[in-house]
Amino acid sequence: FICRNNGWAISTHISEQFRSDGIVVKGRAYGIRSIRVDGNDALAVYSAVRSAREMAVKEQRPVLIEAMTYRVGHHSTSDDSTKKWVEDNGWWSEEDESKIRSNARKQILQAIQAAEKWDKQPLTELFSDVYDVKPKNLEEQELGLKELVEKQPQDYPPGFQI
Amino acid sequence: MASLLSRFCRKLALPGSAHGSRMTSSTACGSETVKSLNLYSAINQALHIALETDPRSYVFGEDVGFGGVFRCTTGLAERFGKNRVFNTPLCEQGIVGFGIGLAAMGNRAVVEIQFADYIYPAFDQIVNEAAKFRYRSGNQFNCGGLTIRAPYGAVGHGGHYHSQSPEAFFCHVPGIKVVIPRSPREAKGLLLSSIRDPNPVVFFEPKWLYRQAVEEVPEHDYMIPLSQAEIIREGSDITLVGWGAQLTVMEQACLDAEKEGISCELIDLKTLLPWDKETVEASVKKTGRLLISHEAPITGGFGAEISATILERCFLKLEAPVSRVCGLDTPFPLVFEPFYMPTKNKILDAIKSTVNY
Amino acid sequence: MAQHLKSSKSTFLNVLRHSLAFGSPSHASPHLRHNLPHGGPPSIKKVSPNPLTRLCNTMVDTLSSSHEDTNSQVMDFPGGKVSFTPEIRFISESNEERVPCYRVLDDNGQQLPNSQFVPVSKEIAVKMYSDMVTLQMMDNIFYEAQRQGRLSFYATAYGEEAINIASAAALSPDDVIFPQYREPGVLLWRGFTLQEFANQCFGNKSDYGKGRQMPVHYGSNKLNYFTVSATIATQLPNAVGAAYSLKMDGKDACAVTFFGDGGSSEGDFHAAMNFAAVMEAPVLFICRNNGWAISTPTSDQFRSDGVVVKGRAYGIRSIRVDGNDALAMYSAVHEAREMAIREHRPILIEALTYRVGHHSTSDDSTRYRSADEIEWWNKARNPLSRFRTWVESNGWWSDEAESDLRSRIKKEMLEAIRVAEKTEKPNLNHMFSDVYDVPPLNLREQELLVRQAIKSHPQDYPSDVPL
Repeated sequence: FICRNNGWAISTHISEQFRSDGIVVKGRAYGIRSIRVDGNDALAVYSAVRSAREMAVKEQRPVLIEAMTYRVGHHSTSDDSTKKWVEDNGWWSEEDESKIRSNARKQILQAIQAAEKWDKQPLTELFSDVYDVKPKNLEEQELGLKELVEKQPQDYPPGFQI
Repeated sequence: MASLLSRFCRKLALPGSAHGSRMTSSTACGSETVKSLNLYSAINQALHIALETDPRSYVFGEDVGFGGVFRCTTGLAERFGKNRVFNTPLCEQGIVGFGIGLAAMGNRAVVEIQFADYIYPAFDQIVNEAAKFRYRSGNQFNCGGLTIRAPYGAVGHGGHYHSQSPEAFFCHVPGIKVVIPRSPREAKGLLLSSIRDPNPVVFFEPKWLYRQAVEEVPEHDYMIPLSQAEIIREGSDITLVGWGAQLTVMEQACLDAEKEGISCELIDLKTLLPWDKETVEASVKKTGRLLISHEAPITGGFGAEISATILERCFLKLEAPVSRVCGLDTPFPLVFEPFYMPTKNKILDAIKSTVNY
Repeated sequence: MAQHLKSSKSTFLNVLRHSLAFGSPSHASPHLRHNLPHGGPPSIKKVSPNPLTRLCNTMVDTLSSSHEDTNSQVMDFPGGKVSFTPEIRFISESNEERVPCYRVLDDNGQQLPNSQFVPVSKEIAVKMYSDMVTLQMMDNIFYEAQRQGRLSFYATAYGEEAINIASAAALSPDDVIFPQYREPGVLLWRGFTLQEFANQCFGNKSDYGKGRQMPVHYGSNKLNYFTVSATIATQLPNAVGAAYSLKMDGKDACAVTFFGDGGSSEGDFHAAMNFAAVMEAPVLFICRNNGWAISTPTSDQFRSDGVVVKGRAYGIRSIRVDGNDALAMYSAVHEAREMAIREHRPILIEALTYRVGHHSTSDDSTRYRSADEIEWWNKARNPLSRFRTWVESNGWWSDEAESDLRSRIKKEMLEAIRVAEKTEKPNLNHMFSDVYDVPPLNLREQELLVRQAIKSHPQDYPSDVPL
């Protein structure tokens, strides 16, 4: 159980959410081992989750991790601390930084462009996976809708293969 | 994508002067002052009045303090204080359970569920506590002061969890009332009635209309009676029954049908439980045809209850089977929303085939 | 190695009443694990020598400017400051020792040395004991009546008489009760008569519930006891709302809600406790931990140290008490009530006890537990005999008083049943009233239809429901 305690639920501050010492103290209410970790510290989160996972799998027990963080907007300065540490180890450079940023940006833009241009789902996917197998009522509704779309295509968004 | 969807989603125009249409509510009279308001402002006004007129009334729910995610509770906390208007923890069963307790002590508790899609954790409290509170106690206790507000319905991009219309589940619960307004003016009057009704009420607000619908709303304290349907458009060839935002779509279909010489009578049910059978029955006995439309999936939808009842009462007067134009039997889809919805043309087609049966 | 992971100061409970072990701090060193992954990333050895600097630099940009000291040991997250530690330590799943249980009387009813309790007068003590006896006898006789087929159903409170009566005695009549279904003793204490109990069980026209619910689903607005509903724990959040109302109205009263060990697993328990804490509501949560939820022992119900430890999970003060010790129950509830009202806070009381009876008349508990176990609790840990010993030691009770009481109650009970059985059922129109404040059209129509059906086929319908 990894709780991202970021201090806010939309506009609700945690003082309006609970009056306990955060989430970590709730572990003992269930007989569950727990830990509170600095959610903005990549190494701490890594270590905590690694340890917790080992415990969970080896001892077959649940573990509660409360990761304290803050819901930030555009830029996350937590990147900066991890970056500094990696740099201190000689594993990162400014060059690496700008390379990965421009690569990621390029990839994301490409993905968006491609996604926007790609075909829509075929109309039959509106009716599939409601159940493992399409029941009668959905088969009928699919037929009805197909007829309708063929008859009055101008009423419907284009690109959905019938 | 957004623009595509919006092109095919309903365009909203509350006609001011359509022929014989009373889409806009008809509670105006004479010299009262009115103001042009959208739906969330009208609801906000109702809440202000409710809290003003009863010092033992409360408004609470997730994020209501700053005005709410749809702004329906704007200004309430500042005006009435955080003891009466407050945020709750994120817990629907707690919100409703707490509200029942407040109501059981004679207070009015107007609770907000952020989206109707999230009301289900509270279903146990609503069905097993609120609905039975008076009955099981032999009328020693009641929680009539409870009103549960929740935004419902399609919004163009809401997908599975921001578009649901769950009214049918609640219409199956004796002991509560279910109310759905169609416009700002109606919403204010119906909400005040719901809050003051001595029974627990579930009040679904068509979120699509929060900003989109604008209407002249009287500024004073007024109430619109529950369990009274309204004929908002008179006609003679076919009766259409609906509620909430769907009525705007249905009215467009009525206008188109009229161009083809079909005279449609459109009824706003307003209260689904207990519903006004008499008005619908009288209308169908006149027209001989019935069409019901709702966004919720067709199977087990509230249209089925209306259809069965009218069939029982008007069988010999019916010229055609009762028609239902509703959402499909799938979870509410995102990209497929325009296909899923009971559109104007689907309704128009159904009007024509019913009339030509 | 075992070091307690300190939480922020704001949650340390101030010592409240020195005389009672409320909110006993669990500072006693818990088992903590020191768990670094073996063969973990070699980088761990190369951690910057000053984790403080690293951590603080992280926070500097994300925090408001109030944070100036870069060597601070404190992190300022929304919701308050927390100190930090560079060591990876998990808080153990439970304290080494269980939370101790408050009691005043030993198993034999002798007052423990140095015991602290709220004194009870002779009048109160005698009424408490008499009501415990009455409750037990009422249960006996109704249970028998069900076995004889005169009642459709019954549930006893055997073993929990002290919880029932002592808690009621410690409350004021203005405190509103939200029961589960095993607390008729609270009604009894407040003056509900044996006849009134019988009327509900027989569902006759004098039943305040108008015959709509199964036996033992009592309710009385006069006695501030909300009607029982069989759904588990749904009453808990209702109680919190009611408590909030009392606070807002400035009443010298609290809400009190009862539930079992099973009830503490329901989502409504979590919802109610959390709301109570956030809303600062004067509500007592009294858990009758009687070891069984029908056939489910507590080991299948939860893995915490009972229910009392859940208080801190919500920031709620709590106490564990011997539920079979009437004096301890009385004192705990008395103190809790005062705290709740004066300080506008919820209190959790876990009353340890044992469900001596079956879950209900639909249950035979010997199918899942040993008869010996039941018998032991019934004899060795009986709440009535323990309290009786204490009452007698004060010279306030005697064998004569006992037999007088018992024969009187027996007579009253039998008469109450006789009358209740004879009294006619509620009128048919009460099937349709109170669904709403006023019957809507559809119900008026349905009543007509039902009456027609009865006229056509009277043999299909019970003849004891007046039309």
